[in-house]
Amino acid sequence: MDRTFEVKLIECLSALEHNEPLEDILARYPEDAAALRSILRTAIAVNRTRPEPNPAAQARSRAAFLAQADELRATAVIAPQRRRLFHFPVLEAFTLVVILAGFVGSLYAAAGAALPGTPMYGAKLTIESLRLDLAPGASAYDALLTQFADTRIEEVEALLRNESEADVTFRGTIESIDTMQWQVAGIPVALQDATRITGVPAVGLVANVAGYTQNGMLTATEILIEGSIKPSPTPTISSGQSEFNPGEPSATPTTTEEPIVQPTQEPAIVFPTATPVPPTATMTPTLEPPPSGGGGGDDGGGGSGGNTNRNENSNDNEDDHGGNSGPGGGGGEDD
Amino acid sequence: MVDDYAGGQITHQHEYADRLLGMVEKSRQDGVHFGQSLAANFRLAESASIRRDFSNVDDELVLLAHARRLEPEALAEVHDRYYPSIYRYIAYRVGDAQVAEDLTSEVFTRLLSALRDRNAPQNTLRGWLYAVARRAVSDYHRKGFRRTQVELPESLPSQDANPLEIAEAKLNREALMAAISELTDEQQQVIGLRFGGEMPIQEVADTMGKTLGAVKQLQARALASLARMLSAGDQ
Repeated sequence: MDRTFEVKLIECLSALEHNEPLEDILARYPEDAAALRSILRTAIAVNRTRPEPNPAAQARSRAAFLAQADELRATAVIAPQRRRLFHFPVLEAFTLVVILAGFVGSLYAAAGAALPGTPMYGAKLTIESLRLDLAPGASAYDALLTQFADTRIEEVEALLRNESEADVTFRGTIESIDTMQWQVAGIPVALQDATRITGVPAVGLVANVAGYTQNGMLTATEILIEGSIKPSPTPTISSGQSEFNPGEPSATPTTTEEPIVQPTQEPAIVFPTATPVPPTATMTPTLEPPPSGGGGGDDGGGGSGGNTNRNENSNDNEDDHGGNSGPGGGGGEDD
Repeated sequence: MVDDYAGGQITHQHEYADRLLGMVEKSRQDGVHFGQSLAANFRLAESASIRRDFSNVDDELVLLAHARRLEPEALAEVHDRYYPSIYRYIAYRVGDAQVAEDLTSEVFTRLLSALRDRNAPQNTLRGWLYAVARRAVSDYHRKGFRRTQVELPESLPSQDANPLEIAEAKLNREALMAAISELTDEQQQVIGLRFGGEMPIQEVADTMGKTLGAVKQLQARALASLARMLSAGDQ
């Protein structure tokens, strides 16, 4: 295939994907129409001959997949607790042994004042975790969480007073917001360009802050704000949009308020229905009823939907170049 | 700095913790260290057992984060969402329904192994699944399996179609799939991703690590080869 023809073919394929009628496309290059027709019809045939999964096979695969995941989860539940025992350095591991030997009270007294970044801090967290595990009920559990959350704030305050360096996290109410500094639970929180904020900040909301203390300042690296996270555009191609719409970006934001069944639903290739194949062509358009079943994830506009629409409209009319053909046609035709 | 997080609706307190845990985990992988107090602060995440509907979650990273924690609802959504396109991609490349079903299941089994071994995809689930599917197809071909008679079930015969049309359609499908098997590996990839995976051509380029122009060229050449082979077979 020479380069000139190839360029024409690429252009014609693009036109086909834009739902241009086949004869209009071929009219651009009458001298190559026969060769182009054969290839473009092949493209249509490949698109219409798309294999669809057997629903029973898909269901079996799903059941087996989830069963395997259950087994994995059962073993994974045990592992983290074991790993936690050996997660800490030797000193903390020894400290845990001491706890088990019955020295909880004295040990807690020793570790209770430990700050982040100190050797005993790991033991302090271990004890807190054990206390949570041993909490007699939900209210006691929640009370401990509140107590420990207050402890985190006290630790940050102590680190700032001492001008110590450590990684910290804490949770508190946003009291004020400035461009590069907030106040959360009475603690000044400095922001930097790299600080990632999730959610829409507002005074009065609760913020979960992760950052580090240094030279008497707390700098946030991550802030997660509770109660304000809203759906917002994500860079996916929405249902029904063709990637080849002139002048539009290839990725268009969509709102998550509209349920989108597939990550991408734009038609990969949309072809017009074709007239009966002339003798030189190789593929004969066939009437294909709706597929026996598509995947759950594709129902909103994937191949099965597209097949249905193509079949219903395949009256061998090349002039029918509406949006009902091609994959993702279910989404497209909704527009 | 402000970054709205489009990850679906928050329905319970613990989900904030989930989010921050996910972000912290990613930061750790990027070399940023966080204090151990995070675990104590967010124990709610471990105790809550809210069932969550992921079917409306269009953010792949959110779905991936929950799948990484082996949450059943998230894993079910992953399977439902990606099985059909992965199947079609594989079916285009191997031409046999049973083999395609087996290999597709294998792809999802490998996903679980990756989650178990903490080698799960970090940035894109779909791209990762297609990469695994490609390896599964390569392994299959490497084992020397010959392409069998094409028996790909597609649409049921139309009630209006006569037996001749049905037979003709089957023959055309068989011829087409046989012809696809004769394409180069890259050409098969493009056909599989474009027509099977219904991928936009730019995404095909990203998945294959090629330029847009190169993929358009591959697609054009693949279709031209198919047309040539089918035309020769027809004669």
